[in-house]
Amino acid sequence: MPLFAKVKNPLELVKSLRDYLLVLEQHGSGSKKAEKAVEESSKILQQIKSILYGSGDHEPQTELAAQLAQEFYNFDMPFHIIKNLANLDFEAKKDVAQIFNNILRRQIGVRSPTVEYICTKSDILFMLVRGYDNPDIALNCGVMLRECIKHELLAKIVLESESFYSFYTYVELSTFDIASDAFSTFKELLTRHKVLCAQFLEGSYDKVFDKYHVLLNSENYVTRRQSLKLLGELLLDRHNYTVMTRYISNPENLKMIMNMLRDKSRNIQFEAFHVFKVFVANPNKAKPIQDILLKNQERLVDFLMKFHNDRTEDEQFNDEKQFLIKQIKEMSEGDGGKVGGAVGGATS
Amino acid sequence: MATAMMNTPPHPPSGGGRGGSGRGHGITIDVSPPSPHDYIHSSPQPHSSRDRDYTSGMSPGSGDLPSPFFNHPQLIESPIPEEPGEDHFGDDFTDFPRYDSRDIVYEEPQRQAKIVGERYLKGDLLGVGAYSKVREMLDCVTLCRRAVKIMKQRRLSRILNGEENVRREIKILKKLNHRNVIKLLDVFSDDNKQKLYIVLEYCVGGLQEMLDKAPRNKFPIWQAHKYFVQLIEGLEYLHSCGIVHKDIKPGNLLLTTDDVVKISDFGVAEELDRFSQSDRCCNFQGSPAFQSPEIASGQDNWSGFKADIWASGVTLYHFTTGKFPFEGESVYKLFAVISQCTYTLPPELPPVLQDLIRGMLLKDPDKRLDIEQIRRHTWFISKHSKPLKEELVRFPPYQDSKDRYRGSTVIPYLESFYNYEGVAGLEATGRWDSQDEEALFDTQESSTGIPSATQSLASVSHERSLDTIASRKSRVHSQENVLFPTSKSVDELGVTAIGPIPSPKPPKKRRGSKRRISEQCTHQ
Repeated sequence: MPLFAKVKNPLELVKSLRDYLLVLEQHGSGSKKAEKAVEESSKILQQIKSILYGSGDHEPQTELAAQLAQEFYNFDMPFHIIKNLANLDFEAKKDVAQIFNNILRRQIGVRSPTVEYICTKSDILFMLVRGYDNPDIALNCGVMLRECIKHELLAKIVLESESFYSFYTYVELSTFDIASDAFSTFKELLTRHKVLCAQFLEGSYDKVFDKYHVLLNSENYVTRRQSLKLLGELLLDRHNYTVMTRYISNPENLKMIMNMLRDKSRNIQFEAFHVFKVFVANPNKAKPIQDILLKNQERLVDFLMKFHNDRTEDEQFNDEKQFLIKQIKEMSEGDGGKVGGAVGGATS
Repeated sequence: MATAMMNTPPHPPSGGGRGGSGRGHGITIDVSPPSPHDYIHSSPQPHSSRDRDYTSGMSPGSGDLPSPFFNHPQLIESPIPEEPGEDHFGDDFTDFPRYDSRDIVYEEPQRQAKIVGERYLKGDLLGVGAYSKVREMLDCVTLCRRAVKIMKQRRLSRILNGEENVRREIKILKKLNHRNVIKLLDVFSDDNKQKLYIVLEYCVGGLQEMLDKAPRNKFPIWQAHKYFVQLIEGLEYLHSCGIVHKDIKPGNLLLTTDDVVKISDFGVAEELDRFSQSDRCCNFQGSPAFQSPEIASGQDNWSGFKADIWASGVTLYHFTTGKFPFEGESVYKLFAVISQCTYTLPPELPPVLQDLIRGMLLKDPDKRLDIEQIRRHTWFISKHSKPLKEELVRFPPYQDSKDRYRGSTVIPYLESFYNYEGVAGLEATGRWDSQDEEALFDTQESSTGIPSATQSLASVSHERSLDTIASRKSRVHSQENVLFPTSKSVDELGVTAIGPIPSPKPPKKRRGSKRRISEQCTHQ
């Protein structure tokens, strides 16, 4: 900061930032005016950041931060900044993410004013999701989005919107870092708020899992492996009990998982095993599931006998494998429902 | 130190000052007014700086520097018999401390650097439980502090369900992975010793011991909130994995160095059947004061999750009031009180908090709050910032140490480990074998050929004095051998020897009875 420059108060900072952003919006990039606007907004963002986080020896200025947040809401700043994020320079984008997350975490007593604000401006969330479309801002948007969905109210908005389903494409993006980032947001959405997630999965079961199968059959190894692992986690979470019972009574799911047991990647075989065991251990198997298992009884036993025999050090895996072999061996026509007996511990 | 100075002869015999007088170089030098020699070799304030050095141990940098220089003279000393030691000590040394060699021998095995499981360097004992001892260890590969539960097969088999409980605990721990649940990192056993080692994340201590030492045995509201939120996060995770903990209480909530709560002790936890929709449990082994009315009144089975909620409610009550909601002289009477579910909340508790506690301590498990409701409770989501003037409740220092930060107890062992390596004759063995202390001495003996009792002392002194870091290996060695023959010199050398150990106690050179030294040794 220049030595004699007048230190701007939060209102002035926010106002001038808005003005520069407007210039950017109107002029697009490249023009002289736009360049200047980019430069100036970077400076302002730095100043804002130092109010919120402190800089060097200076502590964060609590009172100014409160004013600043207020001006942000008044001027719809989160919306405007994110809208113009792609036009800002590299450092400024990072500053935006930090500023946004700081303001988002603000709490006054029981209230989270920023969360309330975003609830009324859900466009902000959808813009953040769409951020994955643009490689220049994808990761910055990911950081902000994940901070948002830590709040149940905001996660709910995303889950219940159509934009949630765009994650199914984002996780398969060819840029590895963006796809991974999108996947971790996706996972967070489906696991963070247990009760909300369970309700969502139950309510939108067909749509969610139809699309999910596309991921499980993806050409992309990482997508396939990650999504299979997440599937296992989802099914094994007690909150998703209803979802699990529904999932494991569908023979199509069993067939797919059985095929994955024979995937060429050992890691995928292994992850598939942890889903497969739930089908077998279920004490109340649906008829179609029983039929498939019985039809393949011998082959399955043979297969499991040879399955990952070199994992000698993993006791739990071996116990589970033995348990499954026993279960399948003992299956016979007509008593399918009973075989699962005392499964509990061995299956989890 | 002050006494020491007063008893110091005003003018030590200048000629013998350095090289003179028996051995006790740690002592002699220390109490004498610094001779010119001192000024050359040590820092301007040799006494105080060295004291600090010895207490804080490995502190790299400033502290370490003077000692090798300072101790140097001792190495070039001639053997005692030739020196008129008495002259030097003079009459003023009436209260010169003598330490019995037994005391030093006694302490020695504890400081022996020992590696178990090929990568864990042993530190001090952190605690002893019904099943196991817990020791701090340093993972030599990752350099992380670890807590290692050591269980003896013999002891386990004598406890009802002992082995089964341990097996279950390990199995449960293996599959858990959450910030607020203690992480199991490694399990191995030593078949020869019939010991089982369970390597866990290191935690500085438990919330119960903080409460015990806290003013009025309670946390300030904001601190209680901080820990309670983490307890609920961890508990939600456990329940989502189908685990009923059954023994939630402050004593089982540990804290890491960065203030993260870890739910620990899954000794009596139960894993629910994945396919049964209910969370019915029918046996309990937890702590009586934290049991819910349905358990206390002896029902056949109950909701395991709700029982954990109840225990968390009692925990929160204890956090914020320093008391228990239910008390009784005997378990029987306690259970009678709990079954009635009558308790009082101190009126000074904020009404929102009272409401939360009441909701968690509802007699009817169906009406009792569930985790989701707790998470939405106003007190839970409110921001509780630390008032400026309010003090944070901290850990009490370990036992009688003064280290309120609870620094690693492995450091002294580590020090001895490296000092030892600097000694001649050891290069051959390199890093000695973990389990085998005997082998250690054997190697030494073969290289020096002196009797083993003295030898072990010699090795102590080597390990202890920082000056052995200096590379004068073989010479040091032969001279030490000569220095040892009389018991007196052994005693005194022992004193010098323990000097460099960073211990919380005052350095041994201070005046103190030999009894005190031995006590300190046992506390270690």
